[in-house]
Amino acid sequence: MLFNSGEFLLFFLPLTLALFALVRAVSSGNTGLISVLVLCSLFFYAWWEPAYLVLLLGSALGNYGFSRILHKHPSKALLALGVSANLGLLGFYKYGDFFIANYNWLSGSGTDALGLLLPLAISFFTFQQIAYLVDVYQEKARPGQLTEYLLFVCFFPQLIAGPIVHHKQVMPQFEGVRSRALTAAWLAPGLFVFCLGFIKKVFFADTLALYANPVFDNASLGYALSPLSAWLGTLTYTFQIYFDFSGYSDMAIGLAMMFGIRLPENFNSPYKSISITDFWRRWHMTLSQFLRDYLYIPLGGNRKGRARRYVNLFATMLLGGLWHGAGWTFVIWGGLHGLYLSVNHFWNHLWRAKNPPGWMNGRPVRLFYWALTFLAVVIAWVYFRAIDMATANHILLAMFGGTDWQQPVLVGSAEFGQFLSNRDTGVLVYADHLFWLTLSAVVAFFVPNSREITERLRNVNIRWLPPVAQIGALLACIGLLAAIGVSKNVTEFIYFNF
Amino acid sequence: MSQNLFTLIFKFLAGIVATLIVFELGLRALPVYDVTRLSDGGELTHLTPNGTYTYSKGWRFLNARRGVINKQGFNATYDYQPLGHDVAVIGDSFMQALMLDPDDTLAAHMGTTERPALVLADGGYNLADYLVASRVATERYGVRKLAILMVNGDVDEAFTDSYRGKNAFSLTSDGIEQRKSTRRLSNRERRLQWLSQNSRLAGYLGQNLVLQVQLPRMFKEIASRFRSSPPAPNDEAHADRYRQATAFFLQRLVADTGLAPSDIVLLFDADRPSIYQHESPILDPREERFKREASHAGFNVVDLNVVFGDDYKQHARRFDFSPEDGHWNEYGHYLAARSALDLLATGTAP
Repeated sequence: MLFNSGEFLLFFLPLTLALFALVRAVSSGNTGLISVLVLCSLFFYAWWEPAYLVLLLGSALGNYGFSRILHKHPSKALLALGVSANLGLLGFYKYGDFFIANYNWLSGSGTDALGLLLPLAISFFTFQQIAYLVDVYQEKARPGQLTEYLLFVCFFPQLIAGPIVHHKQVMPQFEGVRSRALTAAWLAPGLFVFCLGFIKKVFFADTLALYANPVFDNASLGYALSPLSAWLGTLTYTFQIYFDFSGYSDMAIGLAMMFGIRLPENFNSPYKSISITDFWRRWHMTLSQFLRDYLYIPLGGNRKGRARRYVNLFATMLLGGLWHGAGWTFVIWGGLHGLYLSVNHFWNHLWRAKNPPGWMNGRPVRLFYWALTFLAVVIAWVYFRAIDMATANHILLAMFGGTDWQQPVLVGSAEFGQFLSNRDTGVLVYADHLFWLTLSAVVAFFVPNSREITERLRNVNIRWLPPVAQIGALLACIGLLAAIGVSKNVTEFIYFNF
Repeated sequence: MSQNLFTLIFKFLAGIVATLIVFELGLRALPVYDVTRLSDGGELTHLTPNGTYTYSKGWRFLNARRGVINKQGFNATYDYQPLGHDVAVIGDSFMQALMLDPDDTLAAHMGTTERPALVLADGGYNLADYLVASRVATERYGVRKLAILMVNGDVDEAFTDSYRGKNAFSLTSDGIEQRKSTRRLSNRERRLQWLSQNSRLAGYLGQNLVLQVQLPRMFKEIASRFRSSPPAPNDEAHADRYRQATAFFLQRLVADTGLAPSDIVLLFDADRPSIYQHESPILDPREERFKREASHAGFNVVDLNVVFGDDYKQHARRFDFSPEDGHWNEYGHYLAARSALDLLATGTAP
């Protein structure tokens, strides 16, 4: 069930809210409310593939039991066993076929692929639980009630594609759910942030996909691309993935707020970054934090000298890339970012440390750094989006002049090439794509992000519009958005694949 | 307490109403789909003569276009004159082509400035409408060549009672019978129609988002999660009805128009989604039989699966505005027209 689908907006969400309100009215304490959220979350997950509910529940119950044992008998061996079991499950379902394919390629054998359906959200709930086990071992966490643990793992707003939550960020909030959930102070902003996320996904990401997909599809089929076509397709995808994933995160944050839970921010205008380090502080922030705390720092971080630091950075990003998907394109994407980060830190060490800091604050320099960062990110996205290495290389070759500028520009439902030969129809297609690309760029580069907008609104005096009227107005907006969601073929979020 | 509750409900509803008013006002500035269809007891349903229309598709007003309807109620920039046209183009919304510039349509390619093509096409036309339109084209306007586009569902739709004044087929013990649909709109349908014509928000929900179709589809999908699927319709009976309807159509087409089959081109739409996936088109065996029988009877048959399929392999250019609007784009119209013209000129199937 997708947040932008009719069944979610018209059935699941209203029914869950109603059930939650009912249980709150007839019960005291938090257990009933937490249980309702757990049951609804499990139903939400089972809607996709009931069989894998066993996997999710098994993983959650197994980890909960294991955490209790680990708490009573802390030992490195036990922790290693728990982490290995989690990674084994992830490896089997997500990377099994990848390993088999590479083994076959290396050995020349013909071992059959497993052909398993990737369980939804497995990367997310596995990482959250590994972090929990590590923290229990380090006595930073204490196993509590089973229902609370299940809600931490399965809470439907963030179950499928994050934000990746740390137990410290959400579990302490469960106690106050009764007093916060469905109150105007939480419901109105929750609905508002949800609407923002929906607009990002449906209005921007889905529209941009219409223009980006044909470029990558045609490249994968070996069609020649002009440099202009390759650049437009890649830039379009650059904005598509931002609006898709940050839209999903906003919807998740908004939904959780309706139930009185504040999820961590996941995006902070990443395309405004002026360095790659800055980018990773703004893009998929919860993954960055996880990789830093549970991979980079345990590897030694920056404590073992500069050379080792670069190696650690590279290794962390390489594994971060592999976390996204079982394919060499993701490894290359992660490797590129590892390389970018290492160069960034080396540059800081080499140049910036030896120059007065004021020199860096000049607008032209910042603009140059911003452009360089954005270019680096765009190039890396080619590997992230392409279905294989050949396609990625084909597009990159076209982007950097390896093909003929006279090739027709294949984008969207018609050709840009037509612009030259058929002015009447071509201009419309050309203008349509450019309109969305420009609008997306303006929003991503200049418009305040969801958190900034929400904070600004909080400071605006809107007493003339009572909270209950705000909720009515926002529900009307969601009604219209739901109608739009029902009317179109519901498209998956990109991060559902991870 | 009760007054407090009343105030709360009032404020809540006020918030909703105020937002709906904002939407209504906002949409009045946007090109919401607005096409008024008339069923005035004539032989064919059509749009309001000498009226205007606004076409747009989906939530983002794709292919937004405003245009003028001719004196006869069809989408053409010229009025129809007896003996003023050589070719008639007949079909449903694909041939009506509200989403394209008039110069980019199949009709434009098939006519000339002096003798433009006669377009008898409207959204929702079915096989029974095509038969009547063909007769009107030859009897009233003296047209000597016909190009008729068949799209998926045209035959089955001829057996549904859509609304009063539409042409339809009935299957009787004597075979196929042509008739006019007598079904009147229910009060609910009439209210919705009125609302759609008077409120831009309702028009947007009903026409651009097509909620009256999408919502039931979604309910059906949700229901199918909880209960086993209903028994499949009697495929054999449907296939037999289809076969009888197409045989009746081919026979009446010649008899009613007085044209030789070689003066008539039947274009069959393609399975475009499969073509875009570089897969073999999914063929409906009933339609394949229809094509064979038409060809055997001497009609010119254009199988667009072949035309579009070959072209896509070569140029990778799409023929429609999918996925948001399944109608053909100007390139689809151009290719179809070229194939039809080739066939009428040479009698050689593409």
